[in-house]
Amino acid sequence: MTSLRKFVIGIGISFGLPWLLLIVVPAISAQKLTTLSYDKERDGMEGAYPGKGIYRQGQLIYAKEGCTQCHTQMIRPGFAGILDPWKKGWGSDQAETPAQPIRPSTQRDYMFEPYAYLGVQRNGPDLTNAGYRLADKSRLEIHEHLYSPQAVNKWSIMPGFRHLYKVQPIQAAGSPKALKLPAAFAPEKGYEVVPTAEAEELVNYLLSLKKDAPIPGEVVADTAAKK
Amino acid sequence: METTETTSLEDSLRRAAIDRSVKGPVLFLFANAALWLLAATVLGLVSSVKLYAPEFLDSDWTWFLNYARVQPAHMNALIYGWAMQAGLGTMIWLMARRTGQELKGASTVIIATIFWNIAVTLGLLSILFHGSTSMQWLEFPKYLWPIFTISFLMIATRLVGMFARAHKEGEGFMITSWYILGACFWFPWIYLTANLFLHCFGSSLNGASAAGINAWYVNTLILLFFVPVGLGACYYYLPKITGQPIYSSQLASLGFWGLAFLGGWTGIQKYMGGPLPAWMPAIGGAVMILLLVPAGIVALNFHISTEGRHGLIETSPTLRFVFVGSFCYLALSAVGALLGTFWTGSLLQFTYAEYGFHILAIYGFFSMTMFGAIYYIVPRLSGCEWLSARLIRSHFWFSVYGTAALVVCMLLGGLAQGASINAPGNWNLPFVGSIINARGYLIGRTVAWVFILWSNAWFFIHLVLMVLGLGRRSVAPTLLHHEESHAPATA
Amino acid sequence: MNQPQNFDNTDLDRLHAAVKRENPDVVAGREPTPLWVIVGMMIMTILGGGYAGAYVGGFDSEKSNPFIERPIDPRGAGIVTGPQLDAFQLAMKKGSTVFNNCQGCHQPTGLGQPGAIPPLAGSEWVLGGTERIARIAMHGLAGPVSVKGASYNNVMMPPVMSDDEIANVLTYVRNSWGNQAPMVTKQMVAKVRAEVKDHVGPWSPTDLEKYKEMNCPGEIPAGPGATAAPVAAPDPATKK
Repeated sequence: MTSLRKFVIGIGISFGLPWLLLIVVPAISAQKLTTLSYDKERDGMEGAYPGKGIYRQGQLIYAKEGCTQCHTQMIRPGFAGILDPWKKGWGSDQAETPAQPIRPSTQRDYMFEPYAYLGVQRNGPDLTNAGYRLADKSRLEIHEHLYSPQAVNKWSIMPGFRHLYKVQPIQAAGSPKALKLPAAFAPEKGYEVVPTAEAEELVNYLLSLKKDAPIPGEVVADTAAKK
Repeated sequence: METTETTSLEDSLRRAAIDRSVKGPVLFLFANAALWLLAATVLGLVSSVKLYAPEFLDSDWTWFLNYARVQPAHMNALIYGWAMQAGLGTMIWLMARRTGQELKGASTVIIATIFWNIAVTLGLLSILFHGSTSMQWLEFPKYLWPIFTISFLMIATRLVGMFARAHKEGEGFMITSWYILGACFWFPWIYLTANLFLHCFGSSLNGASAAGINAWYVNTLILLFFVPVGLGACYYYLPKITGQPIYSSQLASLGFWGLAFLGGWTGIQKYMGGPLPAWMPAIGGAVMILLLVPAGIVALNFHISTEGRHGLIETSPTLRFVFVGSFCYLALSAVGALLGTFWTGSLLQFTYAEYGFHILAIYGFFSMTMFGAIYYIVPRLSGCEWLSARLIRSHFWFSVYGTAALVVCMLLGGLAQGASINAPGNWNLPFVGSIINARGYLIGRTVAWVFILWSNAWFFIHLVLMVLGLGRRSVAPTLLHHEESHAPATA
Repeated sequence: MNQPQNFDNTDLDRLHAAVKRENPDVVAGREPTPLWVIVGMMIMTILGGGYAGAYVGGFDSEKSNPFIERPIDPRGAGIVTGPQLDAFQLAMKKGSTVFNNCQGCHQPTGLGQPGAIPPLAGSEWVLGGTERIARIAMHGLAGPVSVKGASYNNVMMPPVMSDDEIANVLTYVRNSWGNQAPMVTKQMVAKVRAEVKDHVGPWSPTDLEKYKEMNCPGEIPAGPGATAAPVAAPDPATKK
């Protein structure tokens, strides 16, 4: 056997093993994951887990804009110094002091999306359950945050996604979708800022980010009531 | 200490012929690479400022210069524009020299390089103006990966062919060739897997699986492409310049196969505690600890091999860069192990520390090693010597200071950021705390990129002058100290 | 290998010079692996294996959280979680703390001191218009009053309280000792404060006569306590 052949066999085995066992086989078997059903007796609720996925059209905008560079989308378990389960507003319970810690994300939470944007860094809050957090705000408030984050939090380092918005002259009474911006961020007099279709899709996606449905078999009493 | 050849006229003419055969492609690759290095450095500088001053360069016509676009553009330019091309150029020269073969079909390589650079240009413009795929280090639009694959294969098949022709039955020990050959097989395998799964089979994958494959790609690109090419260069230049053989072929072999067997298991530890099955990040973290073994073995081998000749660092530019690079290999293994486990990495997860690790791997280890290789190779191809020892020295020091500052700032800044996000007292506070805690380190990052920009700008100019044949016409090499030394005149 | 023939004279010297000064290639040495390297490998294997063993979750692909126990809340003692109190229950809880400032005169039993301090239990002032008692809680009362048929003539000086505290203590007082009346909210108190912001000193009963039946306008949050019949008003006898 030539050196090359021996070498190729060596590489084939040494790399082929993790390639198969870590990448190929788990990816294929993860495709076969199905939803789990709640049991009315045991869990006190009905339906399937997870219920529905995220809004895919908007997720394409999320990816295009590169939001994963600063925002993560996974809740980690509360050990080894990690505080994810107790961060205020990061779960479905938006109360001042939520009754339960937020549960860690599971593989099924992401089964309806082809690529989960779990995130590169956490320069801003986690967005796994942003849908609950943003439910209190009006769509215009969310748009305002995307257009000029510094108008909402003056210490914010988030970039303003102004290219997702149109500055147009005010016609008649003005558009109902015009953003209400403080003076420092507002366009010049006679102009208003309205969201483009892409911005609307992005907001739809953000509002669809709700991944805190309880796992069948692990339902705690008052979380069942919240569903 | 036996030598396989003496520097007879025949041998040196043969080497000169080999050098001549690779001259066009390798110089073309190096020149393009250095240009992208400059672009990547500028982009890195801009993105570092955006992290604490988003209003910097924030006008209506620079709308594409936000951190979310500039940062991926910076990393992709660094990796695919600079690192891969510098690596390919070095691989070609090293393989040609080690196998004693002239490169056949240099024009194919040049065509591949042209397509590679077109693809990088299109990809970067797309990230900036259209938007990225948001898949880490695969942010180029999804129609570009076939171009990169085919270009790489066009070059890699030549290298494999050279190896096959030269090494028949069990011929001696050739660690550099193994590393280069390994890289030729590993990169296409990794790149194709990642791109096929994420872009072609993507629609039916589980989202978390896809993210795991992406994280695997990032780590294995470092461990199974950049590390082998860098180590291959180190294993060639250290004995070449010091004149002393590698201390132990058995250790070198252990180091190589250790990396080969372990490298493919890493990557998913980036998402430890995340939605993927727990055993995946656990194996990744455990293997990062185990990878300290090959790293230590390689470092030991280098250290003993160069014993007694460390003084040559004073004079030889290549040895200086390669020495720093090889030290950074040990450092990157240590940092990787630190980041990979719950024991030490849970606070550092999702912080700047990962960026520091990546820069340590791509810049601190790989780029420094490639600089050493370029300083050795280019005079032999262009027929003239480097113009100015001062430029080389300033390139070296500004790069070392810049990279060291960058890595240290990012590791410490990552710790500050992670500690702030996870501090129990901050559970209900807005994010301002972690921003303020890490701000000093981010400013340090900008300063570091300024240093690196200064060094790379001069490097680019210096390299272009050499490629154009405008270097020093001399038989004496450009060394970093002009006094007479008792060491033989090697460069 | 044959000598290459494709050089011209000008190239030869330069290229030749560069390669001529190169060191010859040397074969690697054959030193065996030192023993302590093997020992180092074993130590790393134990460390790596230990980590994997602890966190591998039994290689169960259904399990993404490798930790078995429930996490312990690291935030310290001050955070109270558990079933949430609704707005009324919260106001009662906080109001009883605020009332500690008032019980010196009005007594913990709410019965006051006969002849000196009017009672709060069953008092038509407490159960009547909230506009009136909001003003009293803000600035005090001085002058002759008649409560439950008895007359009192004293000066009441309440401590300075925030809108929230006034709302809570009024809610508490209106729903203790057998009293039952709709709660008072912070917004109602804030409106009153805006109206009377120029007023100084205690009110006189005649000034407040017109507010006898007037309730502060405002929304009361939905919940059992918002109606006139709260689910469970705390019995002061069982309260410490």
